[in-house]
Amino acid sequence: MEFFIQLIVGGLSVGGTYALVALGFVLIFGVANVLNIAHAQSIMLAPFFSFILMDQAKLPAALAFPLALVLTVVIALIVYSAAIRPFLVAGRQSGYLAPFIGSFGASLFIENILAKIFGSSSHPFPIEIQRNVWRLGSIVFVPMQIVSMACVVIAALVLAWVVTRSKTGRSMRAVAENPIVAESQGISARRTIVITITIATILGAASGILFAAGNNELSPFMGMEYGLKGLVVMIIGGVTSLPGAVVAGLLLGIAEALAVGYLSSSFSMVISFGLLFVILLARPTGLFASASRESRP
Amino acid sequence: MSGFYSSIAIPVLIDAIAVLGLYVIASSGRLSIGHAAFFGIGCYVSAILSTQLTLPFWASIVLGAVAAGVFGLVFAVVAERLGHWFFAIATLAFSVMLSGIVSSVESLGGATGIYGIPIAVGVPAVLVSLAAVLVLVYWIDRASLGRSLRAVRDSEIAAEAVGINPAYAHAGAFAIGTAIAGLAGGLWAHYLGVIKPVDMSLDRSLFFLIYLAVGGIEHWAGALLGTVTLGMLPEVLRFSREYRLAFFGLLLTGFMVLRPSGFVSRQLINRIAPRVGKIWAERHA
Repeated sequence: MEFFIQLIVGGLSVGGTYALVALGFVLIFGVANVLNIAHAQSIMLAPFFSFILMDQAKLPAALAFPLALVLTVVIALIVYSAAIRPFLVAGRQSGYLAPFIGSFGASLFIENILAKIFGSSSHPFPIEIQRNVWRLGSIVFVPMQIVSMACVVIAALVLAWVVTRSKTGRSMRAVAENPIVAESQGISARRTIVITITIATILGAASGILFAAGNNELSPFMGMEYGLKGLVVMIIGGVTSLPGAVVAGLLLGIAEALAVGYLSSSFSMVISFGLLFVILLARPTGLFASASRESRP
Repeated sequence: MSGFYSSIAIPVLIDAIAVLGLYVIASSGRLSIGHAAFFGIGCYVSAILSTQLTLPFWASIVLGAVAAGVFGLVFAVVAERLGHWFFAIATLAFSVMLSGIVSSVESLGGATGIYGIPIAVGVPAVLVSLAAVLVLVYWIDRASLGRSLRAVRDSEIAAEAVGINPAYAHAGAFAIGTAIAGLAGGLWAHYLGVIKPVDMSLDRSLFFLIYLAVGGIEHWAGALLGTVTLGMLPEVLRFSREYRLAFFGLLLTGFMVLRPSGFVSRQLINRIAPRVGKIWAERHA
């Protein structure tokens, strides 16, 4: 039983980070109506920028992380204007294939350029983490798990406030509902999409730094690896549902932790995609599909 | 053909066969990011039939293609309810799951794969298969089947209104496309003599998709042209293999922005075809 609870704790902390990745995908898909695969690379870019800033430029972590976030957002906006915006100009329905494949190309480019510069093997992440553990009864907490969970909770609460209460959030929801009507009300759809991508990238970048610090490793291919899990979570959660993404992320984290704990660590990928497969077959629109959007985007 | 040229040409032509299969799937409006999974099914089924049951190589390749097609049909029927994006992600999920399972099953050779497959495929076998697939794809494009696939791709609702069942079109196209991928897989297994779970990796699926998207998703000539040029490019230009994916990524984004339907678009064909026909008619007048 203690082993079980221990696994649940680990699963929740990893699952929260999956949820952050998925929230980014959900925001971009909801507001811009494109599946921006290149979003996955923000997970990898942020820890790489922090690595460069701390290891090469010798900046303190408190300065390196915000700077890395800014740099990642800049790259994400460049990718957006190169690979996504050309398709939004022509109107919302320019075929689903072109922006999907275009952002995929940008993602491949970023990933392989970094693999060429830094080598395709993984590096240690240059941050000192306390290795001593905290105990609550017989359950052991690693400090990183606490940090990660705290970050996820704060990010989710701030996001919930922004989306439901702030003016930016209202314009995001308006553009998601209908960009033409939103523009007629004086909301700039393009500006809203840029803001959305910025928010999504910050979420992705934060989750990337949490992954890299938690596992103490950094690889050019981690963006795709965690990005795919984020996509899985997004679909399980109902694609356009923000609470759905959080619940599905935690679910996937727990399922993986249980599979690794009771079966074998090589099952992690098989479990996440197997779970997706089963859920898609049982509920093709995901667990928390909203009724306002068409069920077959 | 000398050994050097055939060692470049055969893998490229086998890829071209698989990409033609992906073209059939795409012509019904579906996208597969897991095409290599069905390539892999063709590899493994034909390899097992050849080594365990000692069937002649052509029989096991054909049965491998049939097996891939059956898997494809079942997959398409099960996943029919999904929207296009989710269908694409589901193919990805299927391929990641399948390669994970294959590499952990000992009787399938695990991570080391299957060795000692009789090497029976050379240039003639590949060319004959490519020609057969081309004839099939050309016939599908021309026949009412191809027209209904394109109708479903352009508008499922309009297609339904004129009596085409989108579910049948999707499933039919996916089964044919995956069977063609299985055929390519069987040829690959009997060309190399060794297969590994890497043969159904995500990278291979991505290459198939890139070849088709850059070559042109609207015409079979695009599939062929994209695969042959992009497949040969690294060999001809001799740039390092590590830069290949980065370069292809850039190419992919550029093509999607400037020519969203790839190099060979319907427009291009419609512009060129009458001229070619005129020259042909003048020559043979």
